[in-house]
Amino acid sequence: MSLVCEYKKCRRSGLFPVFLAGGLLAAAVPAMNMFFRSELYLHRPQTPLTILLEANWQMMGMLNLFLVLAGASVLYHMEFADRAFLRMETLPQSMFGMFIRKYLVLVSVILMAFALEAASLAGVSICWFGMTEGMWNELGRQMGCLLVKMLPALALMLAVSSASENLWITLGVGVTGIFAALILSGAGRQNHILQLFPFLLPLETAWTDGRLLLAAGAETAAILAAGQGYLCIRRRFR
Amino acid sequence: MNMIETDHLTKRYGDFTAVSELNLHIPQGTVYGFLGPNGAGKSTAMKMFLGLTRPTEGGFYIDGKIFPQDRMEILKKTGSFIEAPAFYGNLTGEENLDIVRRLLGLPRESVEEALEMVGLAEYKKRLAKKYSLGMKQRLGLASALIGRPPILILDEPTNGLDPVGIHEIRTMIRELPSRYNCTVLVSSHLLSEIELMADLVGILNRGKLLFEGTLTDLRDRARFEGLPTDNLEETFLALIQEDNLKRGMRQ
Repeated sequence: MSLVCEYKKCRRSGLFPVFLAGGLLAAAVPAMNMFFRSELYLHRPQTPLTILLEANWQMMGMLNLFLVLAGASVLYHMEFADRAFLRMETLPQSMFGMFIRKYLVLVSVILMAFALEAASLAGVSICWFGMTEGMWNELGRQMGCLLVKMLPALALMLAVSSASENLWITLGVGVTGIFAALILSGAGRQNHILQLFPFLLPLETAWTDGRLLLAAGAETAAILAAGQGYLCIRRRFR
Repeated sequence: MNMIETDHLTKRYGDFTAVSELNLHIPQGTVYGFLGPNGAGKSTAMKMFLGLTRPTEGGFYIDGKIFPQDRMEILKKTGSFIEAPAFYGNLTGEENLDIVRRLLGLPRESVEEALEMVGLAEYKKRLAKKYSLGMKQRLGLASALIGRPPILILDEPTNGLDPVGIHEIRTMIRELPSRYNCTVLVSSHLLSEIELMADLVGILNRGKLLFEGTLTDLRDRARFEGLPTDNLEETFLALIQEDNLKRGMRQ
């Protein structure tokens, strides 16, 4: 019931159209790349999906991160803009529960974008490379890993958004994080600690080590717990 | 039986004491007018009742329950309107109330009922951000009244309303205890408004409760202390001034 409320709150907020448009834009990246530069990729020895992800995922991943930034900002801006947050705090519900429900909404919309991107990758792979054995399993595995690696960034941006009534702070933190990830991407390949930077993790397709995925899951849980801690502290010291 | 009772309730922000040793007694089924000048501590006290701010010392009971242990129980029974209307601008009036309805587990009909009570039924399909100030105020009140909660905490509910609107809301608040066995705590800095609504008044100045009782009791006390009794506004102002002078002398 309460999750339905969170979806209803998003009406006319632009959240769903933005993720749909962003997903389509990210989905267009491999198609455009192959359309204009297929000769660079057609004769490589790796599997088609590996070739496509290595060539396109950094751009697609960055677009996804911008979508996450926009989504997290919108989800809490609608609460703070006309003081709806104050009304929510006087209703019989847990504010941490509301935070988790918003997180689930954000996961569902990024899943929508991921579905569009996965469809595009499958389409491009079949169109240019032909149907290969194990393509669907590989696609599912790769996209699943990339989704798990995206979860810490979703949690972090939502936590920052819930803590800041000023939309620009959330946007600033997000943009800084995304550009920091681009700068650190080279160093991250050698440094296991840097690999866990929430904005860097979703950009690297080669990192599919099970331990890294577990670490991403733990990182997500830690950030969500920090979000709860912040909500308790804010209530205590207000 | 007191529906709301406070026990030396205090709120300090650093060196500033917003509410000091407040002992309120609000009987069930009454309209309790919380009076005081701007900055007296009325809104702060109300925020403490709703868990929006934590008391520094002391405590309070709402229907025999304590914050924060019984927070959910208290909030299920309490409708509130604090300081200014709070709503989702991207949703219509009806949609805003539907969110509140779902979170309170109320039937669908309660939305229409709340809109009718505050005179917003005609504008329910308009986006809340397109509402006038008075309409936003009414939406906030509808959100507090939805489901006819047994306890209502209203902070300056008639701010921004036109005279007709003020009369309507005041009449509605006045009838709530008899119609729905509701207990209402309503604050205002306007004595004339409280005089027409309240069974009991509590007068707050600089965080301290100067008086609690009926308006008749207030007049009697004023007569006893040699304060003006011709009109309640003068009595109120004299009481506040006397308190300010006492504080000035102590300082």
